Amino acid sequence: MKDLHVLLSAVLFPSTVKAFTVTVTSSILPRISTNPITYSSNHRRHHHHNYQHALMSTQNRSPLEELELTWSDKQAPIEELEVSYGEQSRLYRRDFFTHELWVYHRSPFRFTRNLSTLLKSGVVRQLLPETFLIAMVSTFLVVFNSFLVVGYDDLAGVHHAALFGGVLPLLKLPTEPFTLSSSALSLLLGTFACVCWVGNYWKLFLFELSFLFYFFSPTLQNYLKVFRTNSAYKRWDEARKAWGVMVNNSRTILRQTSAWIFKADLPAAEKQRLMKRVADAVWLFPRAEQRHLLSKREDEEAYQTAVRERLWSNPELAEDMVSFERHRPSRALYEMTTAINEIPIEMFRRVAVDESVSHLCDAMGGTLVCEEAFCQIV
Amino acid sequence: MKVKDLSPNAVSCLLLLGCDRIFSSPVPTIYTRHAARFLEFWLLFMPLCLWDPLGSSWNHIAMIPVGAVISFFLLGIDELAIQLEEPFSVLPLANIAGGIGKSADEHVEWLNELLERNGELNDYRP
Repeated sequence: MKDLHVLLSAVLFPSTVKAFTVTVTSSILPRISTNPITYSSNHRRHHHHNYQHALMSTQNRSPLEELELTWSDKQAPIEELEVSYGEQSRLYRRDFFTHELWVYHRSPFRFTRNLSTLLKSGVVRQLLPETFLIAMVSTFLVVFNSFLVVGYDDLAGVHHAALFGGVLPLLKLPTEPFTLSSSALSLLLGTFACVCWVGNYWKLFLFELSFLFYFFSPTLQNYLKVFRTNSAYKRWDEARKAWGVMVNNSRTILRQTSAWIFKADLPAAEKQRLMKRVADAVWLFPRAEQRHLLSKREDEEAYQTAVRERLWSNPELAEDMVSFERHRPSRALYEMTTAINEIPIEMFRRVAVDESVSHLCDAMGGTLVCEEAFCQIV
Repeated sequence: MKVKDLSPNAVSCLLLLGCDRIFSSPVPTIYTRHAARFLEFWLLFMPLCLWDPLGSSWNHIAMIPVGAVISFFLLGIDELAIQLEEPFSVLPLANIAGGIGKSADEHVEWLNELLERNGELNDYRP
């Protein structure tokens, strides 16, 4: 099986095969260190994740971590995975629907359409190695059982005896452990209910999958999978809601400040300057957040260009937003707060607009008062 | 502070997880790993149970495509979960952030229009 994976990796990540052959011995036969495992639990917690493993240098790994680090992580470095077909296809999943797209989405030809694009699917490409592996297991069983155990039919349909008839065991298992038990049905419906919430083409996939559950999956697997898809979808939904809050509160800030600036006792040029500063800051925050959440590889260049173009009236801020790298959205919120603070408005209005800025901050970082019981009082 | 004192906006905010939190903490990786191990283990042994049901095909040859299709669809579920777990790179962030930028531009314009109508821009042009 490992050889098969090597072969597949040679197809998928050709340039890493050489590096892989160097490391494969240490991963198949993990080095047994004579040192006791002395790392602290803290150290363990920070480095237990597979991808962090992949980024760590070899000499820093403890024996246990070496064991946990599977060979496939070494075999495909992050840089290569980042530009793989499956990863790149994520760029095309950022659906932002319009009326026309909804019509397309509901089209009666959606089933054949989705089937016809099967080979372009990033999901399919991602799963190709594993699917191929299972197909190879099946092939092995067919060859082994037919030729060595029960005999085989040739192309003319004539039966031939097995090579070692009666010596080797027939490799098979009963179907029962693999079939569905009745309690799994409710969990299956759980998948379906969850799937109905998904607002894009993912739902088609899951719809088909739930039927396969019905035929082939044991209870436990259903449970696990329902949990997996549910929790993943919940995260997607929460992320989208957080951005919804950002949109709403940005508009609130613009609406309030523009009206209040208009009524302020200032010359027109000053009003325009203040408004431009607030508007730039309101644009800057989501742009910085976007860059913060996307990879540097994808967005850094576009971000720098956009910031320099948009903040032409304030080049110092633009350079700050480029050179400061740790958490740019915070820097943008700081700019927004100082911009608002510059407006001569009365205290109550200042409090009101600052509340909206705080909501932006919450959507960015997560609120401290996220208690379900607290919300249920409402 | 009581809940009724909060604005509707603030209440909706309480329900949220922020972007940073979602980004930096995955679904606990013990779940992900266990799911992957369980699924892979199950799928590796699954072809063994296909021998009898697909006995009517020539030399049980249907095991190969059927095994591949089943594994594809089951692995697909885990793949979808993995794909959605970090949602930001599949969300249209550029459209959303761009939309906020357009709103900001519009408000600047609207203020200018108001100032112009009010006669405040007579001696000044941006």
